[in-house]
Amino acid sequence: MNDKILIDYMYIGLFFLCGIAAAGAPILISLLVRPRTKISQRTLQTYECGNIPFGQSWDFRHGIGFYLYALMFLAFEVDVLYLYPVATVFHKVPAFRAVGLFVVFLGILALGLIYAWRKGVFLWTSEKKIY
Amino acid sequence: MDILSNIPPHLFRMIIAVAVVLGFVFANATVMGYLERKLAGRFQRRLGPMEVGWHGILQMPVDGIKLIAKQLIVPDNVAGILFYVAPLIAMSPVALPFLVIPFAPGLQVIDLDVGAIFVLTMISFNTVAVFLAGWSSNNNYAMIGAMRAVAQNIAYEIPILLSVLAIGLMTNTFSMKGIIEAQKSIWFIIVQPAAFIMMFICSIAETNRAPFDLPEAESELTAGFHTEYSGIAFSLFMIAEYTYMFVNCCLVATLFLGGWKGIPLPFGDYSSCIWFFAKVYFLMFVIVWCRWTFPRVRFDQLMNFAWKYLIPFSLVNLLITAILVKLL
Amino acid sequence: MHFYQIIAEIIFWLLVLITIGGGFLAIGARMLIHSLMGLSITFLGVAGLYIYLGSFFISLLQVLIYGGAICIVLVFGIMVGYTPRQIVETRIRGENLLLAVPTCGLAVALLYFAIRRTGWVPAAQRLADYSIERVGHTLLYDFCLGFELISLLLLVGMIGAIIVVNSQEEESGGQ
Repeated sequence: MNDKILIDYMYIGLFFLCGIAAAGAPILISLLVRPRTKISQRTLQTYECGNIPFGQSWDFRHGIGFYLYALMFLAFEVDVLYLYPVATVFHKVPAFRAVGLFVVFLGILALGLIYAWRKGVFLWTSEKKIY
Repeated sequence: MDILSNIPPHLFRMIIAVAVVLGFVFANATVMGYLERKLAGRFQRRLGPMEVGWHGILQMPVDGIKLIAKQLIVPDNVAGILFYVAPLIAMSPVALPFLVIPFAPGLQVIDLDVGAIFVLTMISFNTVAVFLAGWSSNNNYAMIGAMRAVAQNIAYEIPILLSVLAIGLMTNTFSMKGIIEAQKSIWFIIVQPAAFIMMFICSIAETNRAPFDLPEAESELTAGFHTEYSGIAFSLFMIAEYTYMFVNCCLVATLFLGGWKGIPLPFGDYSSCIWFFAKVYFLMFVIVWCRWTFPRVRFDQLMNFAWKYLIPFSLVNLLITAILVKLL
Repeated sequence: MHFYQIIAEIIFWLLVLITIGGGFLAIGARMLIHSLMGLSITFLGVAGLYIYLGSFFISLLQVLIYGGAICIVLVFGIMVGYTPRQIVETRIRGENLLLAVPTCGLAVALLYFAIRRTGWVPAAQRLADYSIERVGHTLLYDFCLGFELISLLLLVGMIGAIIVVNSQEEESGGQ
C-alpha cells in the first residue's frame, strides 16, 4: 500500500464522515428550533388518509414474484461484475478467448432470462388469469 | 516515503474539497428545486413560483428555512431507530461520488482506477435507504412504495451495469479521467447510441423520477416511502434525490458526452468546467422535461420494460460491442 | 511514522469490531429485518477490511454484491415468507441441535484448516498489486472455471426457485 492510495482512502473516509455530519446537522438544527406545541394523539397515528389505520403493515406478506426478481438480479449482478475486471484487460487477451468468455457468460444470463420469460415470471396477476 | 511530510498540503486540499462539495450538494438541491417548479409551471402553461423575490427566486431558501423550523412528527408505530437512521443513510453517502467526478482537467478530487464502479456503488446505497424508510414507517403506503422502489431499482441497475461495461470494453479503464481521455476523437454517444439511451432511461428510473416514480406515486400511494416523514427528514430525502440525479447525469455526461470536452470558449481554464456543467444541467433539464411530459407508467409495465426490453437489448449491445472491439 | 501505525491499528480493530458486532446483531435480534441489518453491517465491515488489505475493487464488489444484491434477496425472502413481525423462535434442541452442531463444527474445522494452510504475509510487506487489472488477469486465466461454475450455480438456483413457485401456484389454483 503506497502513500497515494493511503491518501485516497483518507479522502474517502473524510468525505464519508462529513457526509454523516451534513445529514445529521440539519436534523439537529431542526430539533433545536422546532416549535414545542402539544401534539394530540391523533397526530401520531399512522397516516392512512384520515381513516383509522387498519392493522400493521408489517403483518402483510408480499407477492412471491418479488423474490424471483431479486434472484435474477443477483445472478445478473454477480456475472456482470465479474466481467468488469475482465474488461480492463480486454485489449491484451487473444480475441477468441475474450469473445468466447463473453459469449459463455452472456449466454448463461440470457438462458436464465429466457427461462424466466417462458415460465411466466414476467406475467402479472391480471394477465395470468387469461393465461 | 515519509508520509508526515505529505499530509499538510493534502489536509488543506481535503478540507476545501469537502466544504465545496457539501456546499454544492445543498446549492444543487436549491437550484434544482427552483428550476423544477419553474419548469413545471412553464410546461403546464402557468408561471410557477412568482411571489418571493424576483420571479420567485427566493422561494427555495424560504422553503428550506420553513422545513427546518417545522415539527418533526414521529408516529407511534414506527420502528424506532431505523426510522431515524433511514434519512441519514440516504444523505450520508451523497458527497462520496463527487470524489471521482472530473469537472475539468484539473478539477477532480482523486482519480481512482475504479471511478465509475465507485459511483455506481454509492448510488446503490439509495435503495437501502428507501427500503428502510418505507419499512420502518409501518405504513401501508410506505411499505408498498418501498417494495416497489427496491424491485424497480434492481431491475434498472442491470442495464446501467451493462452499459458501463460496454464503455469499459472500449476504454479498458474505469477511471473517469481515462474514459474522458478515450473520447478525444469521438464522443461515445455516437459509437454507443443504444447504450446511451438505455443508460439515460435507467438513470431516470434509478432516481425514482417520473415517469418511473412508482415508489412515490401520489395518486395511489399518497407520498410513497416518505409518507410518514415530515419537515427536515423529508427534505433530506429530497436533497439526496436531487444529488443522485446530478451524479447520475455526471456519469452519463462523462461516459457518453465527452465530459469536459467541447468547443473552446474564451474563458481559459474555466471553459471546460462550463462545458461539463452545461452538459449535466442539460441532461437534468431533459429529466425534468420527461417528468412533466410523460404520464406515469403502471408497475407491471415498468418491470416488464426493464426485464423484457432494456436488459435483452443491453445484453445484445454488449455482445456486439465485445465482438466489434476485437474485430476492429 | 509511529503515529500513523497507531491510527491504522485503531481503524483495523474498529473494522473488526463492526464486523463482529454486526454478526452478533444478526443472530441476536428479535425481528428478522434487524437481523438483516446486522448482516449488512457485517458485510460493510468486511468491505472495510478488504480496503485495509489493499484491494479497493474487491471492497466495492463486496458492497455491491453482498451489501446490495444478497441483502435484497434476503429482504424479499423475508417480505414474501414470514411476516417480519413474527419473532423467530430460537429453539436449539432436538433435531435442530443435531443438525446445527455438526454443521457449525464442520464450518469451523474447514476454516481452521484453511487458515493453517495459508502462508500469511503482513499486508505492509506484500508487494503484489491488487488493482483491477490484476484481478481481471487472475480471473481470466487462473479462476475462470470457478466463476463460470458460479454463474451456472446462480442459474440453477434461479430455475429452481421458478419451478418451486410455479408448482405452488398450480396447487393453489392459479392464484
